[in-house]
Amino acid sequence: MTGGPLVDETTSFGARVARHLRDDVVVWLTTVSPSGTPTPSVVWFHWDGDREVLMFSRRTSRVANIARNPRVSLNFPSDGVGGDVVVLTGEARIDPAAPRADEVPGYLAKYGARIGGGLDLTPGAFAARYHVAVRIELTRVRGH
Amino acid sequence: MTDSPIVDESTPFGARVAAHLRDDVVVWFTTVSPSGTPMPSVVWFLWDGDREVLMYSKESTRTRNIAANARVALGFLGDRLGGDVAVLTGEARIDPSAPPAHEVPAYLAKYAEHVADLSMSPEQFAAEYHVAVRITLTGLRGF
Repeated sequence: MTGGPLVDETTSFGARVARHLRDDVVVWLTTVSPSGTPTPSVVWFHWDGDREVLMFSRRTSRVANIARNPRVSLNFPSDGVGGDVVVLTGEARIDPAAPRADEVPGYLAKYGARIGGGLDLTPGAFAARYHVAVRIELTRVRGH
Repeated sequence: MTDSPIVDESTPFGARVAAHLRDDVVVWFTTVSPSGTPMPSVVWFLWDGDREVLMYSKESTRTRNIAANARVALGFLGDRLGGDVAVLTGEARIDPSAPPAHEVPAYLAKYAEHVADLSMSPEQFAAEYHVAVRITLTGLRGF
């Protein structure tokens, strides 16, 4: 692991990557099943501004996949005609010691309105339902 | 393999998926590397209206991945808020006997303008993206 930043915001590409990581509501997370099938799903996520992404999940096949194979990718939707392509790869792990979703200020700042509005849940009820914390250590970014 | 369609256009979800398969310019195509890393990339593609998707590629990591592990996923963009999710899984294979891209009328009908935007003739495009990949769709999920 080098000391340099993964996302270099001094470049126009890096600045765009950072903007997606900060502001996009969802990202495509792809895990790999034990049979070797790539399994994309749409998730909410919180970026720490450096190399880590935190998400909260139910206990799903995606969580089971990560326990067997930590290699995952994240991609933003792109512009639909071949541009604004951003793909990150990383190593995911379930973190039983992570705080609950309703105890992570950055997560609540990003999603509080959607939890209370669209989902009509209290932060506590959301945290109880999406109780599996997944930390993704970003290792690479590519795109254009 | 059953005879029932992967995409059932008589349902609202199936009709939406079919519209994406017909009209979307790009799809996220994910292969898995030998180390088990998922590798999404954006590709042009042609759906046959049933269970097959055809795409053309350069020789790349993606084509090498397919040779080692045929299992792939196709995903459309989504609505950026968590809706309009459609993910297809399938088995990909390199088809050396497929016609080149410029000899597939439906492919040209869909991409001729985009090829021109690359400042390429259809023949030049076909020579550069010469690896034909056929994907047999096996599953669909989403909402």
